[in-house]
Amino acid sequence: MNKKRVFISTILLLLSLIAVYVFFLSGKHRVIADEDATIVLKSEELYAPFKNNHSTLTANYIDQVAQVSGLITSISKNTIELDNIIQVDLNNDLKTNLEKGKIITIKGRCVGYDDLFDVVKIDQAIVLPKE
Amino acid sequence: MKKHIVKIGLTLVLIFGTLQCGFAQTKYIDRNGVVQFEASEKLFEEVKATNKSVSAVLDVQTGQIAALSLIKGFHFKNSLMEEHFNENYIESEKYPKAIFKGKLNDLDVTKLNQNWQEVGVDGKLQLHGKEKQIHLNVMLKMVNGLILMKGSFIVAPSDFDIEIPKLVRNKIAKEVTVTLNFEFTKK
Repeated sequence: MNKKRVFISTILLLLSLIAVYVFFLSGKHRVIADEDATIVLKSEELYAPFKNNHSTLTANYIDQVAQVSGLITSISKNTIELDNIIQVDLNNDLKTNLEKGKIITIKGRCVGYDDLFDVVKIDQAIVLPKE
Repeated sequence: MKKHIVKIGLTLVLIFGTLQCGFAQTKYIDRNGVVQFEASEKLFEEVKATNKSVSAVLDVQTGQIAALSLIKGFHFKNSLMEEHFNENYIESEKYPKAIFKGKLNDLDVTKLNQNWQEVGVDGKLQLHGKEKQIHLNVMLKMVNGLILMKGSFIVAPSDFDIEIPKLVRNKIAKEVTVTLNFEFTKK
């Protein structure tokens, strides 16, 4: 009886150690593409608070999964620009159906404001299909 | 009347557009520059992060160079390390970016060709609310109208008042090697 108890508690302890490792210590990264967007905005709505130094607002945007829509103003490799104010670094290489002048919606992680090029940066992004 | 206004407007836009191009002709930019830093110690987990979305502007006329990298854009292999780096060491919420502003010494863009050439750069690196004078040598070459630049320099966390806790001090190198890789296209 006692042996059985020791055995079971050892197993339980091991399992919980594994769980702790998997959830906290393994150092796995977030998968932005699988997360739901916490902010849904048009490009201008995301850009304006950064541009105007609205730090209370922007603090809530950084590191969040943002769903942003806008007009493609430039494309190069796997980077696209929306309305010249949002720079989006896509996860994967570009799909061929993207072109300048199209309105698209993307989902990615908001990295912050780049005052050298005057853009808000988003990385690990995917292009969302049209609804 | 309305049409005239539109026409005048368009002409103005065109004129200013061309003027601006005229001014910007000597500027080269890179929106996806790569900056990496490494502070690994032997036998311990590597301490290395890469930012593939660094902004950089190079004015070939004056030799002025500016580069900006958002701290949150640095990615580590281990997400826990990335979290600690952001929260405890570099305090990216308070200091969200690193900026380098400097000048390439004696840059003659007409002499650039397909072979790597060494050019000295002097400038200031701003990070974690501090500023440090940096000197480095970069390699430059021109390929198909693109200016490629690579180089590296060494800094210490203490240069920027970044304190490493005792507990991990032997796992993080005192000297941090920063490498950069830019591919400039004409603006």
